[in-house]
Amino acid sequence: MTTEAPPRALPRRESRKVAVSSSISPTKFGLMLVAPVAILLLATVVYPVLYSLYLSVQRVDPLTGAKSFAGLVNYSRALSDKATWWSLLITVYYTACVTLVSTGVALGSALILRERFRGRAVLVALIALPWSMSTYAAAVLWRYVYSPQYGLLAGLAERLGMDGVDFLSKSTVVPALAVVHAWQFAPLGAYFLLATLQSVPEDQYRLAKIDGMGVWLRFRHITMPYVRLPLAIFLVLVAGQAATAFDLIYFLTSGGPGNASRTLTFSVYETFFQNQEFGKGAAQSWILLILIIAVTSFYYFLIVTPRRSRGERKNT
Amino acid sequence: MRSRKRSVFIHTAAAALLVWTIFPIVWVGIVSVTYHAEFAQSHISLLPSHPTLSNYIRMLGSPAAGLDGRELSPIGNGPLILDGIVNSVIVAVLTTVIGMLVAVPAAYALARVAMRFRSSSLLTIIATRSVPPISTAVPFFALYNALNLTGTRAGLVIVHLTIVVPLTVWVGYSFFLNLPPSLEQMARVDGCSRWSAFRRIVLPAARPGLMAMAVIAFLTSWDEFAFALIFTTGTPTQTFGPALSGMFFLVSLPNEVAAGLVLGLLPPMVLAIVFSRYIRRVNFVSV
Repeated sequence: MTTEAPPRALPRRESRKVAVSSSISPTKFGLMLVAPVAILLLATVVYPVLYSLYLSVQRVDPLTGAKSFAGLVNYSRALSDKATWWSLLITVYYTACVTLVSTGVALGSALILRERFRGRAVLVALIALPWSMSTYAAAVLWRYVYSPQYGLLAGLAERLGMDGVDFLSKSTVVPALAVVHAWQFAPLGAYFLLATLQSVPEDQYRLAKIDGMGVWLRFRHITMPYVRLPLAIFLVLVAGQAATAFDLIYFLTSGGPGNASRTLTFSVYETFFQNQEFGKGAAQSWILLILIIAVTSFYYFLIVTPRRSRGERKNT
Repeated sequence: MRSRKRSVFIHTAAAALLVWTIFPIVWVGIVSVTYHAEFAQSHISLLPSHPTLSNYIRMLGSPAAGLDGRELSPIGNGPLILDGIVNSVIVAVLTTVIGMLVAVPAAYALARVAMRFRSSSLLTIIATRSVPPISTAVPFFALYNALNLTGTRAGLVIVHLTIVVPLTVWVGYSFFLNLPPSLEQMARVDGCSRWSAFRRIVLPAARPGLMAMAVIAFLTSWDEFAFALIFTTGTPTQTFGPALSGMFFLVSLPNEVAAGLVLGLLPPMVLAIVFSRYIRRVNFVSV
């Protein structure tokens, strides 16, 4: 361990790490630095998750707080409850809407911002504003856009002599919420995609044009292969975000009208903090967690697997 | 001819993007400088004929003249909003400082120390990000009631750390990974120990990355709402989010809520604009 191979002889990734000698081994040094995070996360993530698992198989008396083992009763109650399935459906619908709108806006913004026009630098900086904003602040902000009484859209419709539309009514509430979510989240994707788009050689487009390729074909055969990976990552980030959205729904609709926007996250909040049904709430949150884990596993499969096969494996 | 058409198209699209991005923000700004008396007319006034700062003045606790010249009293929720902003700043700063102390060494080790369990540690830390906050809210609620941490800043800082630390480790990891490979080796040749190579050579070189980590930590804490709502509502440590929620859901005037909202938007916005060049370099792809 005392000698060090010349950096060039090592594979690129390997050479970036400290491999030279010291009184302690690299693994010990590394684990020492990682330990605080490990302890923190053990205490603040692993413990609550396990406790919630424990709670989900307990019957909790709402008055005395006394607990007794209940087996899978809470799960069967949650799963036989039509409201849970409705919430699951709304969660999937909401996630699909958010993903669709966010991706469209992010890709559209990135394609525009790649072009040259006056004020481009200012616009690139400005689109960070919605992203920097708290989700709850964005929700209140859009209240002022949607409101039929004092909303911007209602005001504009009035000027044009049209009837105002209540965007947060039963039939349109989920897409309307998804637009707000996309407004806030799409800039992150736009930055992602912009960075990638700027690395596409301009010559490829020029040659394709000479070959007579139209806008759509150029997009499909030149742009798409480049943005595929960042787009996939963005899609998974968005999906995870949307499936656990709370602030937005709390402020704009509180799950309403009726239960038209009552997603699973909101349902967990209500079951636990308003109805004080601790066992059922924990069971519901586990159903949500399993849903998220499924999505995240897909994510690792998508992102991590190709990297590993390129020789990362030997580091572990 | 073709390129002219193209240029018109691009400028139109850019204008549309600009409108989409800033109109909601501008509109709330306009509402916040409109008198309620003018705003609450039968039609929705898009531009006030008498713009005023009275909503802000009354939010900050002084009376101000109304549209008809009569004095309006300070806004009742003003103190709660201002305290909320102060509390949010305190919680976000504490979260940032503690989070950085914990996350920076870990991110460095995961990116640049040839250790065992490297990939698995990284994946585990990032995987905790996929735990939905609402499912840890239940246990935290029980735990905090037992430990009397409900309504304390320490309690909120701890839950914020659970969200902030995995995120900043991830961000920091990609920054450390992209530093020049020979950095530590040179330091080590010059006789630095592992620790002092990290402290004296690597940390200064990674400054832009550290800035990005800190800004993201601050913004994430500032933006967090669910835990803040559950743990601080109605207590002296109530942060801005629940304070705004309290005002928003009460019967309160839209113009006054708008003024409160704008006040609370300022800190994160200023931060995001001042540090935008660091934030834009964050790259989640290099996992």
